[in-house]
Amino acid sequence: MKWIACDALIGKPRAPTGEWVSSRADLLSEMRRLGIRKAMVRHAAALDCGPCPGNLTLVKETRGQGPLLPVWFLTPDGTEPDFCPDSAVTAMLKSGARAAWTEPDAEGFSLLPWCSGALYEALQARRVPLFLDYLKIKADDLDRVLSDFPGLRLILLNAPRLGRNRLLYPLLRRHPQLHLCLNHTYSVFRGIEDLCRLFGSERWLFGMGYPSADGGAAMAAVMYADIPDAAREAIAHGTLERLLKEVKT
Amino acid sequence: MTTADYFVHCGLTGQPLRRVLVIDAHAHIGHCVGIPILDTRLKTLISVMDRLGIDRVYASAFEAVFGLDRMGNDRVIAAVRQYPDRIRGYMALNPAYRTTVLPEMKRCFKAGLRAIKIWSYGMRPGLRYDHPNYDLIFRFAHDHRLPILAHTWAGQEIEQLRDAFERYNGIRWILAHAGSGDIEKYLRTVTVYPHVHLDPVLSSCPRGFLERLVARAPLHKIVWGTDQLLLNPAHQLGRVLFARLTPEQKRAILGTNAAGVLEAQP
Repeated sequence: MKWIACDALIGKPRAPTGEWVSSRADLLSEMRRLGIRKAMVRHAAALDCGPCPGNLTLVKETRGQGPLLPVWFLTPDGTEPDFCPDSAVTAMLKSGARAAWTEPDAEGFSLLPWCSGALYEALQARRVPLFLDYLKIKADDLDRVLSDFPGLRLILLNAPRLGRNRLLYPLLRRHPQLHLCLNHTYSVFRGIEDLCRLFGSERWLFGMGYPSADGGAAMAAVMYADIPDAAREAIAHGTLERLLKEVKT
Repeated sequence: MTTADYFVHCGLTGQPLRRVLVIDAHAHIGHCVGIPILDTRLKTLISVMDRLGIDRVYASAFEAVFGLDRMGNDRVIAAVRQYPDRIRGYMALNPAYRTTVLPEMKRCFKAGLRAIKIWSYGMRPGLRYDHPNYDLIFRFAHDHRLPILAHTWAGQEIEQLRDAFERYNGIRWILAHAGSGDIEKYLRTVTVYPHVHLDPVLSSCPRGFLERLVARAPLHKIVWGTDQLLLNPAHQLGRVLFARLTPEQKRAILGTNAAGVLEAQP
Protein backbone atom coordinates (compact mmCIF):
# COMPACT_ATOMS: atom_id res chain seq x y z
CA MET A 1 0.00 0.00 0.00
CA LYS A 2 1.22 3.47 -0.83
CA TRP A 3 0.75 5.81 2.12
CA ILE A 4 0.65 9.60 2.13
CA ALA A 5 -0.12 11.28 5.43
CA CYS A 6 -1.98 14.58 5.40
CA ASP A 7 -1.44 15.71 8.97
CA ALA A 8 2.19 15.90 10.10
CA LEU A 9 3.16 18.80 12.35
CA ILE A 10 6.86 19.44 12.91
CA GLY A 11 8.65 21.90 15.14
CA LYS A 12 9.83 21.35 18.65
CA PRO A 13 7.34 22.18 21.38
CA ARG A 14 8.06 25.30 23.44
CA ALA A 15 8.97 22.98 26.28
CA PRO A 16 10.14 19.38 25.96
CA THR A 17 7.37 16.84 26.42
CA GLY A 18 9.73 14.15 27.61
CA GLU A 19 7.74 11.71 25.53
CA TRP A 20 8.40 12.51 21.90
CA VAL A 21 10.30 14.90 19.72
CA SER A 22 9.02 16.59 16.60
CA SER A 23 11.50 17.42 13.90
CA ARG A 24 12.09 16.90 10.23
CA ALA A 25 14.64 14.18 10.87
CA ASP A 26 12.41 12.39 13.33
CA LEU A 27 9.41 12.60 11.01
CA LEU A 28 11.41 11.22 8.09
CA SER A 29 12.68 8.43 10.31
CA GLU A 30 9.17 7.53 11.44
CA MET A 31 7.92 7.63 7.85
CA ARG A 32 10.69 5.27 6.76
CA ARG A 33 9.95 2.92 9.65
CA LEU A 34 6.27 2.71 8.79
CA GLY A 35 6.64 2.82 5.03
CA ILE A 36 4.86 6.15 4.60
CA ARG A 37 6.01 7.67 1.35
CA LYS A 38 5.05 11.32 1.74
CA ALA A 39 3.53 13.63 4.30
CA MET A 40 1.84 17.01 4.21
CA VAL A 41 3.71 19.06 6.79
CA ARG A 42 2.65 22.00 8.91
CA HIS A 43 5.06 23.80 11.23
CA ALA A 44 4.30 24.46 14.88
CA ALA A 45 6.18 27.74 14.72
CA ALA A 46 3.20 29.19 12.85
CA LEU A 47 1.22 28.86 16.06
CA ASP A 48 4.03 29.51 18.52
CA CYS A 49 5.71 32.44 16.77
CA GLY A 50 3.29 33.59 14.08
CA PRO A 51 2.41 32.77 10.47
CA CYS A 52 5.34 34.56 8.86
CA PRO A 53 8.16 32.94 10.89
CA GLY A 54 6.23 29.69 10.76
CA ASN A 55 6.03 29.65 6.98
CA LEU A 56 9.65 30.75 6.61
CA THR A 57 10.76 27.94 8.87
CA LEU A 58 8.54 25.48 7.05
CA VAL A 59 10.00 26.44 3.66
CA LYS A 60 13.51 26.03 5.05
CA GLU A 61 12.74 22.67 6.62
CA THR A 62 11.02 21.16 3.59
CA ARG A 63 13.16 22.58 0.79
CA GLY A 64 14.73 19.72 -1.13
CA GLN A 65 12.88 17.17 0.98
CA GLY A 66 10.82 15.32 -1.62
CA PRO A 67 8.70 13.32 0.83
CA LEU A 68 7.67 16.42 2.79
CA LEU A 69 4.93 18.56 1.24
CA PRO A 70 4.64 21.98 2.89
CA VAL A 71 1.33 23.42 4.11
CA TRP A 72 1.36 27.18 4.69
CA PHE A 73 -0.44 28.92 7.50
CA LEU A 74 -2.60 31.68 6.02
CA THR A 75 -4.64 34.45 7.59
CA PRO A 76 -7.46 36.41 5.94
CA ASP A 77 -5.47 39.63 5.84
CA GLY A 78 -2.64 38.24 3.72
CA THR A 79 0.96 39.31 4.29
CA GLU A 80 3.35 42.13 3.57
CA PRO A 81 3.64 44.16 1.45
CA ASP A 82 0.08 44.37 0.14
CA PHE A 83 -1.87 42.44 2.82
CA CYS A 84 -3.98 40.80 0.16
CA PRO A 85 -5.00 37.16 0.65
CA ASP A 86 -4.90 36.53 -3.08
CA SER A 87 -1.24 37.57 -3.16
CA ALA A 88 -0.51 35.34 -0.19
CA VAL A 89 -1.99 32.35 -1.98
CA THR A 90 0.00 33.23 -5.09
CA ALA A 91 3.21 33.44 -3.06
CA MET A 92 2.42 30.15 -1.41
CA LEU A 93 1.87 28.39 -4.72
CA LYS A 94 5.02 29.97 -6.13
CA SER A 95 6.99 28.53 -3.25
CA GLY A 96 5.74 25.04 -4.11
CA ALA A 97 3.17 24.59 -1.36
CA ARG A 98 -0.17 23.19 -2.50
CA ALA A 99 -2.28 23.41 0.64
CA ALA A 100 -2.94 25.82 3.50
CA TRP A 101 -4.05 25.68 7.12
CA THR A 102 -5.33 28.23 9.54
CA GLU A 103 -6.60 28.65 13.10
CA PRO A 104 -8.85 31.64 13.75
CA ASP A 105 -8.36 31.89 17.52
CA ALA A 106 -4.59 31.67 17.29
CA GLU A 107 -4.41 34.78 15.12
CA GLY A 108 -7.49 36.66 16.27
CA PHE A 109 -9.91 36.52 13.38
CA SER A 110 -13.27 35.01 12.58
CA LEU A 111 -13.76 31.98 10.42
CA LEU A 112 -16.96 33.47 9.06
CA PRO A 113 -17.10 34.89 5.54
CA TRP A 114 -17.53 38.52 6.65
CA CYS A 115 -13.97 38.32 7.94
CA SER A 116 -12.27 35.54 5.95
CA GLY A 117 -14.25 35.53 2.71
CA ALA A 118 -11.47 36.96 0.55
CA LEU A 119 -9.14 34.19 1.65
CA TYR A 120 -11.71 31.54 0.81
CA GLU A 121 -12.27 33.13 -2.59
CA ALA A 122 -8.56 33.00 -3.35
CA LEU A 123 -8.27 29.38 -2.21
CA GLN A 124 -11.44 28.32 -3.98
CA ALA A 125 -10.39 29.93 -7.25
CA ARG A 126 -7.18 27.91 -7.29
CA ARG A 127 -8.66 24.77 -5.73
CA VAL A 128 -6.20 24.92 -2.85
CA PRO A 129 -7.20 22.59 0.00
CA LEU A 130 -7.57 24.25 3.39
CA PHE A 131 -6.94 22.34 6.63
CA LEU A 132 -8.91 23.26 9.74
CA ASP A 133 -8.80 21.69 13.18
CA TYR A 134 -12.20 20.34 14.24
CA LEU A 135 -11.36 21.12 17.84
CA LYS A 136 -10.70 24.80 17.10
CA ILE A 137 -13.84 25.72 15.17
CA LYS A 138 -17.59 25.73 15.57
CA ALA A 139 -19.83 23.54 13.44
CA ASP A 140 -22.18 26.46 12.75
CA ASP A 141 -19.28 28.54 11.43
CA LEU A 142 -18.10 25.69 9.26
CA ASP A 143 -21.57 25.22 7.83
CA ARG A 144 -21.75 28.90 6.93
CA VAL A 145 -18.32 28.89 5.27
CA LEU A 146 -19.04 25.79 3.23
CA SER A 147 -22.47 27.09 2.22
CA ASP A 148 -21.04 30.38 0.98
CA PHE A 149 -18.01 28.79 -0.71
CA PRO A 150 -19.16 25.51 -2.26
CA GLY A 151 -15.94 25.21 -4.23
CA LEU A 152 -13.67 25.42 -1.21
CA ARG A 153 -11.91 22.11 -0.56
CA LEU A 154 -11.86 21.79 3.17
CA ILE A 155 -10.09 19.07 5.17
CA LEU A 156 -10.93 18.66 8.83
CA LEU A 157 -8.16 17.54 11.15
CA ASN A 158 -8.84 15.85 14.48
CA ALA A 159 -12.28 14.52 13.66
CA PRO A 160 -13.48 13.13 16.97
CA ARG A 161 -14.35 9.64 18.15
CA LEU A 162 -18.02 10.38 18.75
CA GLY A 163 -19.76 7.58 16.93
CA ARG A 164 -22.50 8.71 14.58
CA ASN A 165 -21.39 12.28 15.13
CA ARG A 166 -24.44 14.51 15.33
CA LEU A 167 -22.56 17.55 14.05
CA LEU A 168 -20.23 15.96 11.55
CA TYR A 169 -22.69 13.74 9.71
CA PRO A 170 -25.07 16.58 8.79
CA LEU A 171 -22.11 18.69 7.69
CA LEU A 172 -20.86 15.86 5.48
CA ARG A 173 -24.33 15.39 4.07
CA ARG A 174 -24.72 19.08 3.28
CA HIS A 175 -21.25 19.79 1.94
CA PRO A 176 -19.64 17.38 -0.53
CA GLN A 177 -16.45 19.43 -0.52
CA LEU A 178 -15.85 18.62 3.14
CA HIS A 179 -13.10 16.03 3.68
CA LEU A 180 -11.86 14.33 6.84
CA CYS A 181 -8.41 13.37 7.95
CA LEU A 182 -8.64 9.81 9.25
CA ASN A 183 -5.93 9.56 11.83
CA HIS A 184 -6.11 8.07 15.33
CA THR A 185 -8.55 10.71 16.56
CA TYR A 186 -11.32 9.31 14.38
CA SER A 187 -11.49 6.12 16.38
CA VAL A 188 -15.03 5.00 15.80
CA PHE A 189 -16.19 1.39 15.81
CA ARG A 190 -17.13 0.68 12.16
CA GLY A 191 -16.61 4.39 11.53
CA ILE A 192 -14.62 4.17 8.31
CA GLU A 193 -17.10 1.66 6.93
CA ASP A 194 -20.00 3.94 7.78
CA LEU A 195 -18.40 7.00 6.20
CA CYS A 196 -17.74 5.09 2.98
CA ARG A 197 -21.22 3.60 2.95
CA LEU A 198 -22.99 6.93 3.42
CA PHE A 199 -20.73 9.39 1.67
CA GLY A 200 -18.52 7.40 -0.70
CA SER A 201 -14.80 6.76 -0.41
CA GLU A 202 -13.35 9.91 -1.98
CA ARG A 203 -13.48 12.29 0.97
CA TRP A 204 -11.21 10.64 3.53
CA LEU A 205 -7.47 11.15 3.85
CA PHE A 206 -5.03 9.07 5.82
CA GLY A 207 -3.28 10.80 8.71
CA MET A 208 -0.44 9.42 10.81
CA GLY A 209 -0.97 11.63 13.85
CA TYR A 210 2.62 12.86 13.90
CA PRO A 211 4.10 13.88 16.27
CA SER A 212 1.93 12.74 19.16
CA ALA A 213 0.44 9.45 17.99
CA ASP A 214 1.60 6.04 16.86
CA GLY A 215 1.24 6.19 13.08
CA GLY A 216 0.66 2.44 12.92
CA ALA A 217 -2.68 2.88 14.66
CA ALA A 218 -4.25 4.76 11.77
CA MET A 219 -2.58 2.49 9.22
CA ALA A 220 -4.16 -0.54 10.86
CA ALA A 221 -7.54 1.18 10.92
CA VAL A 222 -7.40 1.61 7.16
CA MET A 223 -6.03 -1.86 6.47
CA TYR A 224 -8.57 -3.66 8.67
CA ALA A 225 -11.58 -1.62 7.54
CA ASP A 226 -14.25 -3.67 5.80
CA ILE A 227 -14.23 -1.60 2.63
CA PRO A 228 -13.28 -2.32 -1.00
CA ASP A 229 -9.59 -2.14 -1.83
CA ALA A 230 -10.25 0.79 -4.14
CA ALA A 231 -11.63 2.74 -1.19
CA ARG A 232 -8.59 1.76 0.88
CA GLU A 233 -6.30 3.06 -1.85
CA ALA A 234 -8.26 6.30 -2.05
CA ILE A 235 -7.89 6.86 1.69
CA ALA A 236 -4.24 5.88 1.88
CA HIS A 237 -3.10 8.17 -0.93
CA GLY A 238 -5.48 8.56 -3.88
CA THR A 239 -7.76 11.32 -2.69
CA LEU A 240 -4.95 13.52 -1.43
CA GLU A 241 -3.01 13.04 -4.64
CA ARG A 242 -6.06 14.00 -6.63
CA LEU A 243 -6.71 17.10 -4.55
CA LEU A 244 -3.11 18.25 -4.94
CA LYS A 245 -3.11 17.53 -8.65
CA GLU A 246 -6.22 19.64 -9.12
CA VAL A 247 -4.65 22.73 -7.58
CA LYS A 248 -4.39 25.47 -10.18
CA THR A 249 -0.87 26.80 -9.96
CA MET B 1 10.43 -2.09 9.38
CA THR B 2 10.77 -5.77 8.71
CA THR B 3 7.83 -7.82 7.54
CA ALA B 4 9.61 -10.86 8.97
CA ASP B 5 7.74 -9.87 12.10
CA TYR B 6 4.41 -11.67 11.75
CA PHE B 7 2.62 -8.87 13.57
CA VAL B 8 3.95 -6.19 11.24
CA HIS B 9 3.05 -8.36 8.28
CA CYS B 10 -0.54 -8.62 9.49
CA GLY B 11 -0.74 -4.87 10.07
CA LEU B 12 0.59 -4.04 6.62
CA THR B 13 -1.71 -6.45 4.84
CA GLY B 14 -4.81 -6.27 7.01
CA GLN B 15 -4.64 -10.00 7.66
CA PRO B 16 -6.26 -11.27 10.85
CA LEU B 17 -3.91 -12.54 13.51
CA ARG B 18 -4.30 -16.30 13.39
CA ARG B 19 -1.12 -17.70 14.85
CA VAL B 20 -1.42 -16.07 18.24
CA LEU B 21 -3.94 -15.82 21.03
CA VAL B 22 -5.61 -12.39 21.03
CA ILE B 23 -7.80 -11.36 23.94
CA ASP B 24 -9.46 -7.97 24.22
CA ALA B 25 -9.69 -7.37 27.95
CA HIS B 26 -11.62 -4.11 27.67
CA ALA B 27 -14.71 -4.07 25.50
CA HIS B 28 -18.25 -2.80 25.79
CA ILE B 29 -21.57 -3.70 24.27
CA GLY B 30 -24.88 -1.89 24.20
CA HIS B 31 -25.77 1.77 23.86
CA CYS B 32 -23.64 4.60 25.17
CA VAL B 33 -24.81 7.95 26.48
CA GLY B 34 -23.61 10.95 24.47
CA ILE B 35 -21.79 8.85 21.88
CA PRO B 36 -24.15 7.11 19.46
CA ILE B 37 -22.59 3.75 18.66
CA LEU B 38 -22.81 3.00 14.96
CA ASP B 39 -23.64 -0.67 15.24
CA THR B 40 -24.48 -2.44 18.49
CA ARG B 41 -25.29 -5.84 16.98
CA LEU B 42 -23.31 -8.73 18.38
CA LYS B 43 -22.90 -10.28 14.97
CA THR B 44 -21.10 -7.12 13.89
CA LEU B 45 -18.80 -7.33 16.89
CA ILE B 46 -18.01 -10.93 16.04
CA SER B 47 -17.33 -10.04 12.41
CA VAL B 48 -14.94 -7.28 13.48
CA MET B 49 -13.21 -9.70 15.85
CA ASP B 50 -12.84 -12.16 12.98
CA ARG B 51 -11.47 -9.48 10.72
CA LEU B 52 -8.77 -8.52 13.21
CA GLY B 53 -8.13 -11.97 14.62
CA ILE B 54 -9.43 -11.36 18.13
CA ASP B 55 -10.22 -14.69 19.78
CA ARG B 56 -12.20 -13.40 22.75
CA VAL B 57 -13.46 -10.14 24.17
CA TYR B 58 -14.28 -9.37 27.77
CA ALA B 59 -17.18 -6.95 27.64
CA SER B 60 -19.30 -4.91 29.96
CA ALA B 61 -22.51 -3.18 28.96
CA PHE B 62 -22.48 0.60 28.75
CA GLU B 63 -25.90 0.64 30.40
CA ALA B 64 -24.61 -1.25 33.42
CA VAL B 65 -21.55 0.95 33.73
CA PHE B 66 -23.68 4.10 33.63
CA GLY B 67 -26.26 3.01 36.20
CA LEU B 68 -28.76 0.58 34.71
CA ASP B 69 -26.87 -2.37 36.09
CA ARG B 70 -29.53 -5.05 35.84
CA MET B 71 -30.50 -4.13 32.29
CA GLY B 72 -26.89 -3.94 31.17
CA ASN B 73 -25.85 -7.12 32.91
CA ASP B 74 -28.76 -8.93 31.29
CA ARG B 75 -27.40 -7.80 27.95
CA VAL B 76 -23.97 -9.17 28.84
CA ILE B 77 -25.37 -12.47 30.10
CA ALA B 78 -27.34 -12.90 26.88
CA ALA B 79 -24.25 -12.09 24.79
CA VAL B 80 -22.13 -14.61 26.65
CA ARG B 81 -24.79 -17.25 26.18
CA GLN B 82 -25.08 -16.51 22.49
CA TYR B 83 -21.33 -16.51 21.86
CA PRO B 84 -19.75 -18.46 24.73
CA ASP B 85 -16.46 -19.01 22.91
CA ARG B 86 -16.04 -15.40 21.81
CA ILE B 87 -17.62 -13.14 24.42
CA ARG B 88 -16.94 -13.22 28.14
CA GLY B 89 -18.67 -10.83 30.46
CA TYR B 90 -17.93 -8.24 33.09
CA MET B 91 -20.73 -7.54 35.51
CA ALA B 92 -21.06 -3.90 36.50
CA LEU B 93 -22.83 -2.58 39.55
CA ASN B 94 -24.29 0.68 40.66
CA PRO B 95 -22.70 1.09 44.08
CA ALA B 96 -24.81 4.16 44.83
CA TYR B 97 -27.68 1.78 45.66
CA ARG B 98 -26.15 -0.31 48.39
CA THR B 99 -28.98 -2.77 48.91
CA THR B 100 -29.04 -3.99 45.33
CA VAL B 101 -25.31 -4.50 44.84
CA LEU B 102 -24.88 -7.88 46.45
CA PRO B 103 -28.04 -9.48 45.04
CA GLU B 104 -27.08 -8.30 41.55
CA MET B 105 -23.57 -9.69 41.92
CA LYS B 106 -24.92 -13.03 43.06
CA ARG B 107 -27.35 -13.08 40.16
CA CYS B 108 -24.63 -12.32 37.63
CA PHE B 109 -22.25 -14.84 39.18
CA LYS B 110 -24.91 -17.50 39.04
CA ALA B 111 -25.49 -16.61 35.38
CA GLY B 112 -21.83 -17.23 34.67
CA LEU B 113 -20.13 -13.83 34.74
CA ARG B 114 -16.68 -14.15 36.26
CA ALA B 115 -15.28 -10.64 36.09
CA ILE B 116 -16.25 -7.17 37.29
CA LYS B 117 -15.98 -3.74 35.71
CA ILE B 118 -15.97 -0.66 37.92
CA TRP B 119 -16.26 2.90 36.71
CA SER B 120 -16.50 5.94 38.89
CA TYR B 121 -15.93 9.05 36.83
CA GLY B 122 -16.20 10.63 33.46
CA MET B 123 -19.41 11.46 31.69
CA ARG B 124 -21.59 10.88 34.76
CA PRO B 125 -20.85 11.46 38.42
CA GLY B 126 -20.19 8.38 40.46
CA LEU B 127 -18.95 7.29 43.82
CA ARG B 128 -15.26 7.40 44.55
CA TYR B 129 -13.64 4.00 44.68
CA ASP B 130 -12.92 4.49 48.39
CA HIS B 131 -16.61 4.95 49.19
CA PRO B 132 -17.69 2.27 51.69
CA ASN B 133 -20.25 0.85 49.25
CA TYR B 134 -17.46 -0.32 46.98
CA ASP B 135 -16.35 -2.60 49.77
CA LEU B 136 -19.30 -4.85 48.95
CA ILE B 137 -17.98 -5.31 45.45
CA PHE B 138 -14.38 -5.79 46.46
CA ARG B 139 -15.26 -8.29 49.20
CA PHE B 140 -17.33 -10.35 46.75
CA ALA B 141 -14.59 -10.27 44.14
CA HIS B 142 -11.98 -11.25 46.71
CA ASP B 143 -14.05 -14.12 48.07
CA HIS B 144 -14.74 -15.49 44.58
CA ARG B 145 -11.26 -14.68 43.23
CA LEU B 146 -12.68 -12.51 40.42
CA PRO B 147 -10.72 -10.03 38.34
CA ILE B 148 -11.74 -6.37 38.34
CA LEU B 149 -11.22 -3.97 35.45
CA ALA B 150 -11.17 -0.48 36.96
CA HIS B 151 -11.65 2.61 34.83
CA THR B 152 -8.95 5.11 35.77
CA TRP B 153 -7.78 8.37 34.30
CA ALA B 154 -4.39 9.95 34.81
CA GLY B 155 -3.87 7.84 37.88
CA GLN B 156 -6.18 9.95 40.01
CA GLU B 157 -8.16 6.94 41.29
CA ILE B 158 -5.15 4.91 42.30
CA GLU B 159 -4.99 6.42 45.78
CA GLN B 160 -8.68 5.63 46.21
CA LEU B 161 -7.96 2.00 45.37
CA ARG B 162 -4.77 1.58 47.39
CA ASP B 163 -6.53 0.31 50.47
CA ALA B 164 -8.41 -2.25 48.35
CA PHE B 165 -5.14 -3.35 46.73
CA GLU B 166 -3.77 -3.98 50.22
CA ARG B 167 -6.79 -5.71 51.67
CA TYR B 168 -8.02 -7.76 48.72
CA ASN B 169 -5.12 -9.65 47.25
CA GLY B 170 -7.51 -12.27 45.94
CA ILE B 171 -8.57 -9.84 43.24
CA ARG B 172 -6.62 -9.64 39.99
CA TRP B 173 -6.80 -5.95 39.17
CA ILE B 174 -6.54 -4.28 35.77
CA LEU B 175 -6.20 -0.51 35.71
CA ALA B 176 -7.68 0.78 32.49
CA HIS B 177 -6.32 3.69 30.46
CA ALA B 178 -2.84 3.50 31.95
CA GLY B 179 -0.84 6.18 30.21
CA SER B 180 -3.62 8.74 30.28
CA GLY B 181 -1.38 10.69 32.64
CA ASP B 182 0.99 10.34 35.59
CA ILE B 183 2.48 7.13 34.30
CA GLU B 184 4.88 7.08 37.24
CA LYS B 185 1.96 6.43 39.56
CA TYR B 186 0.85 3.45 37.49
CA LEU B 187 4.38 2.10 37.33
CA ARG B 188 4.88 2.39 41.08
CA THR B 189 1.59 0.62 41.66
CA VAL B 190 2.33 -2.40 39.49
CA THR B 191 5.78 -2.63 40.99
CA VAL B 192 4.44 -2.73 44.53
CA TYR B 193 1.39 -4.93 43.99
CA PRO B 194 1.84 -8.25 42.21
CA HIS B 195 -1.89 -8.59 41.58
CA VAL B 196 -2.29 -5.23 39.77
CA HIS B 197 -2.01 -4.98 35.98
CA LEU B 198 -2.22 -2.23 33.36
CA ASP B 199 -4.45 -1.82 30.31
CA PRO B 200 -2.98 0.91 28.09
CA VAL B 201 -6.03 1.50 25.89
CA LEU B 202 -6.12 5.16 24.85
CA SER B 203 -7.79 6.83 21.90
CA SER B 204 -4.87 9.26 21.74
CA CYS B 205 -2.52 6.36 20.84
CA PRO B 206 0.49 8.19 22.33
CA ARG B 207 3.57 7.63 20.23
CA GLY B 208 6.07 5.25 21.72
CA PHE B 209 4.08 4.75 24.89
CA LEU B 210 3.93 0.98 24.64
CA GLU B 211 7.67 0.81 24.15
CA ARG B 212 8.25 3.01 27.19
CA LEU B 213 5.82 0.94 29.21
CA VAL B 214 7.47 -2.33 28.28
CA ALA B 215 10.87 -0.85 29.14
CA ARG B 216 9.77 -0.02 32.67
CA ALA B 217 6.93 -2.34 33.69
CA PRO B 218 7.07 -6.11 34.02
CA LEU B 219 5.88 -7.45 30.67
CA HIS B 220 3.32 -9.81 32.20
CA LYS B 221 1.57 -6.80 33.75
CA ILE B 222 0.48 -5.32 30.43
CA VAL B 223 -2.95 -6.41 29.22
CA TRP B 224 -4.38 -5.35 25.87
CA GLY B 225 -7.82 -3.79 25.51
CA THR B 226 -9.62 -1.87 22.78
CA ASP B 227 -12.60 -0.03 24.30
CA GLN B 228 -14.77 -1.21 21.41
CA LEU B 229 -17.71 -0.61 20.66
CA LEU B 230 -16.66 2.90 21.57
CA LEU B 231 -13.32 2.99 19.78
CA ASN B 232 -12.14 1.38 16.58
CA PRO B 233 -10.29 -1.70 17.84
CA ALA B 234 -7.95 -1.61 14.85
CA HIS B 235 -6.30 1.52 16.25
CA GLN B 236 -5.38 -0.26 19.47
CA LEU B 237 -4.26 -3.31 17.51
CA GLY B 238 -2.09 -1.18 15.24
CA ARG B 239 -0.35 0.35 18.24
CA VAL B 240 0.91 -3.10 19.16
CA LEU B 241 1.52 -4.53 15.68
CA PHE B 242 3.79 -1.67 14.61
CA ALA B 243 5.44 -1.05 17.98
CA ARG B 244 9.22 -1.32 18.38
CA LEU B 245 8.78 -4.50 20.39
CA THR B 246 9.81 -8.09 19.84
CA PRO B 247 7.25 -10.60 18.56
CA GLU B 248 7.38 -12.31 21.95
CA GLN B 249 6.49 -9.06 23.69
CA LYS B 250 3.62 -8.40 21.27
CA ARG B 251 2.33 -11.93 21.78
CA ALA B 252 2.32 -11.46 25.55
CA ILE B 253 0.56 -8.10 25.41
CA LEU B 254 -2.10 -9.17 22.93
CA GLY B 255 -3.20 -12.35 24.59
CA THR B 256 -1.20 -14.47 26.94
CA ASN B 257 -1.04 -11.84 29.65
CA ALA B 258 -4.82 -11.38 29.60
CA ALA B 259 -5.33 -15.13 29.74
CA GLY B 260 -3.26 -15.18 32.89
CA VAL B 261 -5.25 -12.43 34.52
CA LEU B 262 -8.77 -13.12 33.33
CA GLU B 263 -8.79 -16.87 32.81
CA ALA B 264 -6.63 -18.14 35.64
CA GLN B 265 -8.40 -20.76 37.71
CA PRO B 266 -9.00 -19.59 41.27
